[in-house]
Amino acid sequence: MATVEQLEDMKTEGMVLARTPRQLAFARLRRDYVALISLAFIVLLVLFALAGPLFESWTGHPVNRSNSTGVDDYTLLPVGPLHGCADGLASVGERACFVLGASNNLGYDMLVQLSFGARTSLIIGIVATFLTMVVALLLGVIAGYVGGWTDTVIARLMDVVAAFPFLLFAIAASVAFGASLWFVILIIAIFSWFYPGRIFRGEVMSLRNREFVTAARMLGASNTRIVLRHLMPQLIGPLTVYASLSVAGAIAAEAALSYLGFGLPLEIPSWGRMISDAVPGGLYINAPFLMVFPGTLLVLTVLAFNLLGDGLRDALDPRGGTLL
Amino acid sequence: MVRFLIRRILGGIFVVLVVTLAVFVLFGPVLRWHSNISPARLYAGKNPSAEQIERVSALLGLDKPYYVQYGYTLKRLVLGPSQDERERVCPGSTAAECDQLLGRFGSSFAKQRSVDSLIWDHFPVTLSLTFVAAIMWLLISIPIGIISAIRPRSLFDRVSIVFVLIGQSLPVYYFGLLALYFLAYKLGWFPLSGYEPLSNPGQWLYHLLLPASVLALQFAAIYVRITRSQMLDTLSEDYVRTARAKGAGETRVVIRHAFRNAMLPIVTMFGLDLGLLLGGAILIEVTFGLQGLGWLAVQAAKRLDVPTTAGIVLFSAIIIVAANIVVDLVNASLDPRIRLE
Repeated sequence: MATVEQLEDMKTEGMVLARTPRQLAFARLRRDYVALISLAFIVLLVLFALAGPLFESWTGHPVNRSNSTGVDDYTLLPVGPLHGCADGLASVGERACFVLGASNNLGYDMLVQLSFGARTSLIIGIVATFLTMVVALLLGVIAGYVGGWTDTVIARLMDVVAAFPFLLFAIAASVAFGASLWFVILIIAIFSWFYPGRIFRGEVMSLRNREFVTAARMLGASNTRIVLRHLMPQLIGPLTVYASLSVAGAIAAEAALSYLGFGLPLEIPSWGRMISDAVPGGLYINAPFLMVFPGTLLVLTVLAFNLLGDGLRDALDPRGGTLL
Repeated sequence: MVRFLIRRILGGIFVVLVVTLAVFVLFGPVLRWHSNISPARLYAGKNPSAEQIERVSALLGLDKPYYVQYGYTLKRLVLGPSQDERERVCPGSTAAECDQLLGRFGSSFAKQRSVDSLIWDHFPVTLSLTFVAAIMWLLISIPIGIISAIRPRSLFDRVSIVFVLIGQSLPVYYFGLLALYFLAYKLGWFPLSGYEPLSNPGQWLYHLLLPASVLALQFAAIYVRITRSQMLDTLSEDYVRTARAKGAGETRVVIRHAFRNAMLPIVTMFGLDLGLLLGGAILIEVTFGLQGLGWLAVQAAKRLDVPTTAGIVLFSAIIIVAANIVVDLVNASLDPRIRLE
């Protein structure tokens, strides 16, 4: 492969370059500032989530631990940002300094909770998306490739899942199963595979009668080989796009469940629960930062994954219906 | 057309059956064996004795095998409670009194009420919220979507795209809390929570305006997106060019020729969204303290009031399925090609 310098030289010599679809997609993505900023935000968010233990030792406030210094003695409200940090950053490391304030009326440290909440969101977003995509690919490709009765059954299944009232059902299920991380991941995956599944099914249906598939079959390729080597590469584009959108959806779904008080056990920090902690007794009226910090982080995260998904769609399939 | 209708209704019944089965499995075997919670114990009150639990089990029919229980649940949903159960649950009371205690969806654990009467008590709130919000989001989104499509890449289009992106990524409850903080608390324009019945229309609207706007803005974002993309598609159709060539005015072309054909997917989505919301606009109702179906479901689930939670899930599934069928019918009457499929 030619180096960048060689390519530049060739360009100045007025030669036309052949570029692979992947190179074209990367070139388009590099010019898409919105997608790049989203990607940068996601990288920062991952670092922020990884830094959790660092924040714990830095502030002296372990995650999920109540601190009496985090609650104002007089008003009984959680303390605000930079409370107890009057001596400047030199006093950081002592128990009294809350950089972003306390996150609830038990005096949890906002910064620490936000960072561990980012972990929860990212883990749920990624694992739920992985499961969603595996099921969507499996059922979507089988339905689209095999057709006939198999297709009818899978398509009906997709319709049934799509008709379920997700949030209501998730609440009911969380009562029956009890709160756990796996429950949240599975319930999100169970109710999100149908949409990408339909897309994959449609793609495969339109691909399976194309000449290159017929050619492969004529050369004696088995069905497995046709699906894995000839069809799958065509699905990488939609797979990437819907994976990014699905992460956004899963993060939003977990936050909504936690906001309502279902799904995750109390010892797992969650942005959704942090927002709901600000509600009882109108706490957010007196201390709006309680909902603004986790809320803003949640909005930005969901927005970043959505914008990245849109950017990927534009880059991978420039003909398709783009938004921007 | 009749064949089409019958096929859709059968499909809908199948979906409702799947939902009842899922709910039954959740609140029967799963609750019992996974979380070791027995509904009879919940119903029997605090620290019940073994005999009390047994008596409640018999009263609720929980001592029967699961398949018998499921069969009866389905039968009750369709035909109403049997005479046998009426006599067990409300002995010595008239039929009207018993209806207050026991309905098609069973009897609430937390309150001495039938789940049906609870649902009908709370449904008007959800219905009002959905009605006001739906009018608002259609009025906002369709004109914006059409103008965006007529002038793609204009300043107006770009601003509306930002609006769409924000609307899609802003969690509706967080947006609701921000609205409550700034518009209701800081500026005092709206009440902080609560609902007024329709008998006082001014107060009714005043209490619904803020929650409905928040809900409407979120949905408007999606509808702007779909209106715009549909209009972009139809505006490039041959019949639009033909209409222009025949000298139709721009307004006529856009409204009568392009929008009319762009409407189909919008009608479809509108019907499905209405169905979903009528089963309980959970996040908005909880945030604004509107005691609708979604609010009731959350309260019931927190109190482990199994029949009420299950009843609302079923009710909502039935509404969604009904909305699906109505949408199919409307589409089939708008576009004859669909019923020939």
